[in-house]
Amino acid sequence: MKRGQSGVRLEDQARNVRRLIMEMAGLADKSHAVAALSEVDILVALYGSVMRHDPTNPQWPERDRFILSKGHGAEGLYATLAWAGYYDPSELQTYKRYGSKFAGHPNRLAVPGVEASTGALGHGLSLGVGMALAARYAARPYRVFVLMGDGELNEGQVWEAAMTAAHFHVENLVGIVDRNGLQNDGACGSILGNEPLEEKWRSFGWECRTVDGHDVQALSKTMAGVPFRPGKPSMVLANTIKGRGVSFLENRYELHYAAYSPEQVARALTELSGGSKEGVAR
Amino acid sequence: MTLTDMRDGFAQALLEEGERNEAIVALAADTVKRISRFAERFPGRAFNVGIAEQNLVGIAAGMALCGRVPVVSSIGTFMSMRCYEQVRNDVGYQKANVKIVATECGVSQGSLGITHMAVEDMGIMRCIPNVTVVAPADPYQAYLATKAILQQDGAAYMRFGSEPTRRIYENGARFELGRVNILRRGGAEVALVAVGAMVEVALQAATLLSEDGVAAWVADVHTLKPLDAKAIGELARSVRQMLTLEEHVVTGGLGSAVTEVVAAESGGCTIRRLGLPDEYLPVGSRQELLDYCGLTAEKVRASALAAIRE
Repeated sequence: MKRGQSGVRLEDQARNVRRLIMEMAGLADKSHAVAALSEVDILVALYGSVMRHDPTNPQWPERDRFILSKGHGAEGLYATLAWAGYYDPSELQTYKRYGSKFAGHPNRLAVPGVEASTGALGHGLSLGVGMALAARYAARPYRVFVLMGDGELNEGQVWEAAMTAAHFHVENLVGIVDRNGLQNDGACGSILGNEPLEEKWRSFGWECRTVDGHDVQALSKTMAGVPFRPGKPSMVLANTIKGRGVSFLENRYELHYAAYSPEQVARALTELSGGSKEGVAR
Repeated sequence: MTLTDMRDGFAQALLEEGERNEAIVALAADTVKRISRFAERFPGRAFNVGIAEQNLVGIAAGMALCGRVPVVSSIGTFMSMRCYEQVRNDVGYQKANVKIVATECGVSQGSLGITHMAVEDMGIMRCIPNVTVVAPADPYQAYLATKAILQQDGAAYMRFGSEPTRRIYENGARFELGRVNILRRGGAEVALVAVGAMVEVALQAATLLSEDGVAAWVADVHTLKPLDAKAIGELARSVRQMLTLEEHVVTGGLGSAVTEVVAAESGGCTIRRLGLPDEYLPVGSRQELLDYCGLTAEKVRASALAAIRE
């Protein structure tokens, strides 16, 4: 399997990452597969194009950092890191099993390439502000990318961190919202309305861009230009579809944490069979 | 070295360690006086993140994961409970090298009411793996403890009150995290085992007890985690009665920790836990509330005598 190198279209690689996610979903009792499918194209753009990182040297001090603040999207991160070359995809067969590195939420001390242990929502942006501030002391300032869910924006700590990032002019911090419009109990707007999001982030001192969160090229191009404005943190509002890529999983909030039968997994893999089948976790 | 109070001891040590180790940064949550001397000396290494303790701890953890040694400091009740999940998930779980310094702990702000009393903090912090829990007894020990936690690679939670505390330790005194200091050796009757500012009360009570013909042991358990189980076990086997003294609820703190050790090791002695009762305290000055809780030297003496005569 190509691991993020040139030659294979990132869109095809995203399809392979989605296959890995569904295979993991088939291995586990229950999984957050639909949340992971939502974020895949963002992760592929970051690890395949935008971020400076080295899978052979996960502790490279000058690497860009990525924090999955929506920690329940762990399957997406695990699959992406496997694709990017941090470990062999076959390791994912232990997903959620006793003693596995790969819990339902990521543990930075267990999984190579995971920068922060997350799972309790609302923590990631503060961690990102801290990492980005610490970069001021580094020989070469790195960038920090933090992916949040739109439901996660209910958490007050997100907005504490948002204010802090603007106040300290943390321009090497990039927030990304996986804006699929759904959270555990239903549509975000029906649970706790968060719109107008762009105006909210702007008013908190961030420079914002809205982009199609499933267009890898557009995501890559947008994030290549950070900071969007010198002296300001950058926010990418990525419009996404929860469950993206598997027809019967799309826009199904009730599948946020769900069990999948072997038949459902097989059907999903068939739908996702357009790309290379190499390297999946068999 | 002249130090006015615990906070002064902390500030002096932070300044000295900051000179020695440029990775040290300090953060506050609209509570910058606690780190102001450091901030004046190293303005580029100090951050006031506003009234947002969850964010404060998260930022510190992020900095620690990128090689900094952050010290965060705020009012004890907010520095322990408001950000507890962040301490657990972002600091303890991730082995982030963050030093948390909680001030105004215990009932030192008792006249401000319940919202400003950090009286459960040691108990809850003790539940989090990878976090050292320490409560110095006097300004000089606050200085030594600050140096110790800054020199140790790992997270720590340090707490003290705001009142001026009498010096117990002379300049040059030894301090080792996780090692009980026996301040007074006694007979087979009773041991007073104290933490933080209650060490001074224990010493005063021991002096009063000597007038009653009782030679009480006094032990300073400045580190609640890791607990010096060996020293406490030995002490428990040396006496018939042990009284624990803490400016903290009797649930979860020193009394609980000591009881766990002694019960587990069948130490044999009886333990009375002196501390704050399981109730919301009335409004009052620190001294009034300590009296209410039986934590004055005279009342500790009475409790010790009652235990001995039982």
